Amino acid sequence: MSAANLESKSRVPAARRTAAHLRSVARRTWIPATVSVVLTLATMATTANAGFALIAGVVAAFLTSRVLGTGPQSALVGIALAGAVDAPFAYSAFNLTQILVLAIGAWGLVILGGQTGQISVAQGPFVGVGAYTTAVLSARFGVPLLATIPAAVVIGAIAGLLIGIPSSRLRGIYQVITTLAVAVSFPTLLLAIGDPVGGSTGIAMPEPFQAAQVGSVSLDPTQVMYFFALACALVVWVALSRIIKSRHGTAMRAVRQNEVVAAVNGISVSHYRITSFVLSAACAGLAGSISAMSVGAVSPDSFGMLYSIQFLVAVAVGGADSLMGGLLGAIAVFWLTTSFSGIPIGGVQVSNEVAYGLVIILALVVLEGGLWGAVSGVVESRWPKRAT
Amino acid sequence: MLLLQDVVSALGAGAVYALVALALVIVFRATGVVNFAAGEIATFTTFVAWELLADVGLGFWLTLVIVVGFSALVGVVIYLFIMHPALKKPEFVIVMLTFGLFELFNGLSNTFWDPSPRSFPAPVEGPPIVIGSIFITQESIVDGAIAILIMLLLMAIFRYTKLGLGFRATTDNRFAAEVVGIRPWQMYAAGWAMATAMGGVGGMMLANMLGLSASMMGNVLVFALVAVIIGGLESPLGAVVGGLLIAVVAAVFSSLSFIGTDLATPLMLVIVIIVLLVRPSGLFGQRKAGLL
Repeated sequence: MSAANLESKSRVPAARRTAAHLRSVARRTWIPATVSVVLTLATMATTANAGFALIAGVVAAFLTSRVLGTGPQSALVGIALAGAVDAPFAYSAFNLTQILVLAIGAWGLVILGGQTGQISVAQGPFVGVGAYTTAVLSARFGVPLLATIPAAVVIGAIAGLLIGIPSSRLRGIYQVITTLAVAVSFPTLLLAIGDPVGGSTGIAMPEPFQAAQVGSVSLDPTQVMYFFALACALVVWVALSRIIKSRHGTAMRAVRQNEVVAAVNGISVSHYRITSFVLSAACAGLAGSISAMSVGAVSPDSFGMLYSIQFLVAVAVGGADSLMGGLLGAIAVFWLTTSFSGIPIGGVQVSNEVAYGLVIILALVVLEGGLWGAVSGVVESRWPKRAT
Repeated sequence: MLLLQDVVSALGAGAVYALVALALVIVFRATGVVNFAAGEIATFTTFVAWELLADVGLGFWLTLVIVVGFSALVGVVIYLFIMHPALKKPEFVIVMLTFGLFELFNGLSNTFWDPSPRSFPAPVEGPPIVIGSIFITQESIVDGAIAILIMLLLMAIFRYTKLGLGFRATTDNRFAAEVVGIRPWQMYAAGWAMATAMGGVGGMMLANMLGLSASMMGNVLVFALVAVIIGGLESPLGAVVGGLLIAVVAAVFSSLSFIGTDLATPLMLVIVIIVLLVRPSGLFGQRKAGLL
């Protein structure tokens, strides 16, 4: 009796100590990312050299994660953020903003598809709703551009609720066809509304930001726009990853894996399917607002079925299970749809759509779980997670 | 009377919608895939037909036969190399594969041919036929007749040939069919071949009516999907009736002044959503669809 008692007494504090240690590591994981971003920006502001800034950020992320023992994943996040902060000095800030727009929209589909297992071809129209909200409020009612963002998110979410209530009752291919119907009718609907939304020509807007000077670095308006979009994307990332890790996220995945079992365990299937639709459309609304501001114009034809397919391709190629997959997919889709303006093969200029289609098919046939699934598979096998 | 003229003119397009809808149903019954690329594949084969007619100088009927063969071959290749290995993958992957094919074939059409519309030769030339105050062009009669003939031919293949029996057996009970020596993949490949061949014919008919362009099939696919939902994804007869019905409804909607052409498509898609929610198996379907 006494032996058993002793054992259990000594076990409980040990378990608590382990748990406390794990929590403290979890709390410190944000530090490498922050240090690396701050150092990248500081190096950039003092030297005005994008290469130095990137090296500083990468080294900082690597060293901090090593010293604090927060693991390779936190170092990767730090390196990625250093790259994101540094990128507009090396590449076109406008293009990078478009990648962020694609990524935020694709994250909506990660919630919808990767978490609750729904397929929506209506992401393009939802982005359109956000973009048009910003455009109409600013051009017709004189609302400052930045102030239209909350409205774009809310109206996107309402559109998601309106479409989500009927279409979340349908499964698989029937849901695809319903949302495809939405995607096809959205541009014609805008044309039918006509003048208030600018008809077939759309609406133009002024630039939301002015040039800025930070240290020895001068930022042009598109670069400021990019940093604003990056901040929005970070907020969405943190919010969505918290939802995915929360009880709500577990419930959503339960709905995806087996609706009957989820329902038996007291999870309201329709509630989670509809809320994920709303969440996904809210992301799309934000993406649309950013897109409208950075492009400076909206037109009905840009938000139809082909645009929806871009978001679907982003999650299909990048990996539908994680936000990282959505981001990688967004980069891939942007690269595929813009970088090839006709590939010369045997004297014929092959349309970039051919490469786009082939890559989609190949990625789906070859990669299980998308690009991020492949990358994280390699990472896991090389650096398996150890119990600390 | 103007309305009646619109309805009669719409029936020609309706025959094409029915043809494409039937192709969708055959592929869905065989492999459980809704081929969203059906329209783009048909556009591509129609461009090949145009090449044969305009550059090589073949006759219309010979071209039709060649295009049927070529489309069937395209269907078999797509099935064997892309769809067959993926059939056991999640539905999302299969849907995305058809969207990938959509982009691929749209890209191929845009690569080899100028995307601007061009006229496509008619099977027959002649003055329009006048019945009362209704005009019917001879070509639209022939186009409609070809579409209906193809559909009848297909029904006959399903009903009276050994291939059709095998196909029906495989879709009805795959394992029982395998036991009696039918190879399912052959039947599925045949299903895809028939479907793309029908799409090829439908593309030629439609190009004759509306002019050939890379985006020609965009609306047709939507209308065919609407037809399929109304008729039931499982029902060939439903697809044909749905295709004709949807063309007439679209014509009526467009001619009503308070709806107009702009709102006709969204309105029909609202009908689709209502049909899916109220009667997901469609008017002619039996099996319960994906509504839980």
